[in-house]
Amino acid sequence: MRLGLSFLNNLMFLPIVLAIGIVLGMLIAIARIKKTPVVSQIMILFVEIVRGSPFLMIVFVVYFGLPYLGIKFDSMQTAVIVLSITATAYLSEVFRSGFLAIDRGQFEAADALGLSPFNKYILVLIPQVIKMTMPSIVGQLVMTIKDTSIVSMVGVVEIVRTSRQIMQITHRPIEAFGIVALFFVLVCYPLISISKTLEKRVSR
Amino acid sequence: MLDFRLIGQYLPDFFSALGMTLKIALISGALSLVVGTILGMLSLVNNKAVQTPIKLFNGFIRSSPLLVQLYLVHYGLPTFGILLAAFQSAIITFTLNTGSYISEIVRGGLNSIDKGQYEASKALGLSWFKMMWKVILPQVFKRILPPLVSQLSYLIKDTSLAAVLSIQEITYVSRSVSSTTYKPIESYGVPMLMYLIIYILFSLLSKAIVSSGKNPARVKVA
Repeated sequence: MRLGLSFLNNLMFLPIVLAIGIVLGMLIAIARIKKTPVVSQIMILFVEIVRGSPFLMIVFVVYFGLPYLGIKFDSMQTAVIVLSITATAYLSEVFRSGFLAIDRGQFEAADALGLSPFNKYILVLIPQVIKMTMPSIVGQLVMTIKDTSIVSMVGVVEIVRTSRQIMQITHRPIEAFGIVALFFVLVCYPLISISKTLEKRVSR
Repeated sequence: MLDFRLIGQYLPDFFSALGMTLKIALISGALSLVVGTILGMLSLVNNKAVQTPIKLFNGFIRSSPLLVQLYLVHYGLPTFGILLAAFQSAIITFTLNTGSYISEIVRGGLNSIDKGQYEASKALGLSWFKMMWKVILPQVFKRILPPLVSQLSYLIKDTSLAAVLSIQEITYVSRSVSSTTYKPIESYGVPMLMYLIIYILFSLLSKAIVSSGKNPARVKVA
């Protein structure tokens, strides 16, 4: 019962993290395909550093490292920040390849119609990118859900931490962690199946 | 600015941590290649009794977090009488986890081989084993090299989770150095650099493989 409630803590992160991830990821992707001189280089650096570092490492840097530089985040804030940064970095790559996969003609047609850059992206390009990359977006959602388990390492009261406490009291690790695994599987497996179905639809 | 003397003082610790990380990655990687290839080939068998457990296993691995898998192995197996050291639990978990992903890659690779190869092998009278070893698998591995390399790159990052079992790999050591020295930039900077260098090496390796595959020998016709 308590496990179920604490799983809600895991899932709670998702709306914000995903919203930030998609919005910022999209912006970064656009900045990179436009190749704006300084901005895109910084973005590339950011994305590659986040993609090249283990998630737990980034969590430790933010939670344990930043306080010595004067920036203190509590465990919940760290979780949201690191989950968002990670999702943003990976999604920006997804969107970037999405943009590159769109026919150049779309860009040119939008310009020929006299659409402002803002409109061009909002009305024409972004909807196509999102439709194309839906399978990968769902995939990233699954990754984020699994990553929420790692934030238990800095004290966030979510399902993995709760199950460890339960295990220490009841000494029944298989039941405790087994149920945890079951929760994740029940959520993630359908999502993965959806992702596969979307993939088949997109490649038709 | 940067306290290089401090970094120098702890460099041996960082390097032995790097050694641990690489040890875990290489052992798990090699084992998971074996496991993944076997599972991948098994998925070709049209027997439901064989395919269903494999599908369940893969589904479970992909749908559950690596951390939970680590806990299940390290804290769960003792209830069955199997006591494992942290290192062994880590190796087993990473092997199973990466092995599952590799089996999917191998399965895709096997499916991409032209059916004619299988038929020709049968026509030549090759045993199943000879067919796989001499004809099919060499072709498969050439094709799946890029996804394999990126999967191994993920494995390196996964090894950081071994820190939760108090294994002295890079992530664990970086945290203990940081709490001892109160100098986060140096304490986390060096380990981050290590991970990033490994990541960049893998990316370069992947690009080199891809580009070397793009230039097949041109056969002049007429």
